[in-house]
Amino acid sequence: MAYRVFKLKSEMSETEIFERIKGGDEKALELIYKKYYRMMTKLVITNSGTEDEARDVYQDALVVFWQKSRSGNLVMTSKMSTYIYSICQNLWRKELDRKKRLSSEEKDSSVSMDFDKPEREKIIAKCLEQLGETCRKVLMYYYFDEMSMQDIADKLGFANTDTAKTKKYKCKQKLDELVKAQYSEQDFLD
Amino acid sequence: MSKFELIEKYLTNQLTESERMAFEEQITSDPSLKADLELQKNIIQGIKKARAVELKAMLNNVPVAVPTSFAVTGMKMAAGVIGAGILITSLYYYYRPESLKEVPNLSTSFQDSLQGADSIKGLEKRIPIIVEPAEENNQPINKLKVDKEKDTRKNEIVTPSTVNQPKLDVVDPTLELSSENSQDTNLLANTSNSGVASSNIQVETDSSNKKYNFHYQFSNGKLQLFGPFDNSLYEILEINGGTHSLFLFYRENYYLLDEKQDQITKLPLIKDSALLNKLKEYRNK
Repeated sequence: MAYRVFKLKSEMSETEIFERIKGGDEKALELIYKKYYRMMTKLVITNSGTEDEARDVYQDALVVFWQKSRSGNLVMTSKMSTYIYSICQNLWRKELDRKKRLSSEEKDSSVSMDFDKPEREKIIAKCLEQLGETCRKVLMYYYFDEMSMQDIADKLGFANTDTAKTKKYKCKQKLDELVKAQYSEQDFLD
Repeated sequence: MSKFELIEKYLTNQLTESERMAFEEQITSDPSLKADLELQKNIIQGIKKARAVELKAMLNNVPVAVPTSFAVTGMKMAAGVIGAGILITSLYYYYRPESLKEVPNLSTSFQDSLQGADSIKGLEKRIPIIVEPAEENNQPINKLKVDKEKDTRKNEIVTPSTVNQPKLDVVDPTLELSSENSQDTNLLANTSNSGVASSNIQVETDSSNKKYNFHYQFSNGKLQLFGPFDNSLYEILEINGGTHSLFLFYRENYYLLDEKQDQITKLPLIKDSALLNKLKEYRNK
């Protein structure tokens, strides 16, 4: 048990970790994932959640945290853990609400409106797979991580921002074509 | 601005206020533009979702320690079950006096399993590695021969199973020196028998590199040490507690080994005195 204590001491400071996350260092995200795992999952477990749900909520919260810090709009006014904790709280509250709604919907036997959304996401995920590693990374970094063209070029080893821009444009075009083809195929089948 | 650009900028919030209003107006009167916008919205959402899934999968692969209290509770429960088993068995034998003799045997095995539980609580394992300089053959403690002339690079595979057979090439000098030698070995043997995740650490040393003279990296799960590690003893301390951590002990100093470090990095000297005391304690155990 004592080991955990001294492991923390040899780790980086909070600000250092946060700076690395802002810089897009996924290893730093893994680090805080480990560091706060017990603390964050406990929140859900002690609030009528299972261990699996706790892990799920915590991982989702960190993904939210990652995106927020990456976009550069996040200013840390409190401790990083406090901030992540509040995201966990919100997500778990939402999940509990959803569960409650779901059980009352079952009684009303109404159907969810958002039925085809996961289906569409699946199609796009499949098309992304077909694109290949570099294209996929460019698009994800651009749209999700909201990285600048300079950062994308640095991270993926492109010569300059123009290369990154061209890559992004071409990859997006290719993805659009693939998705359109898939969509029309689906419509055709329906 | 092309239609594609316009939609893209609208969806990534890059339009000015007036541009955005003009575009929204356009959408209401142009069904094909609206359809294009919907498609692009889906695609961008899909990309975001895929990235979130990817990040989540990455986190899911990070090993997190099972809370120690869980493990201990599990052990206590196991001990409790065994205890209950003995009670029932004793009652059984009590009513069959002719078999009474067998009861002491059972409680011995109960003791054994308790001992196993205790060593689990410690969850600590050490994998010592000694590289003996070729010119110091008179040292009796280890048998690992280093053929320096052949190659400056060496490979050793260290597995926990070696602690069960202390006569192998890899020997812990503290075990040899300690009077409680056999007891320690038993403790370690118990730990590895009780299902503690086993690990393989493969170490490679390179003393010929001019640029990297006291560095390390992990590549393909292998630990690569750069520096004069041929001239002196070094040890890898592996500590499995709430977290899994590796340390290097070399010439009375301790260094932290980050298993995620795939770049060649200077060995980071540990200065924290509390941590140092802990490490000394574990190394001398």
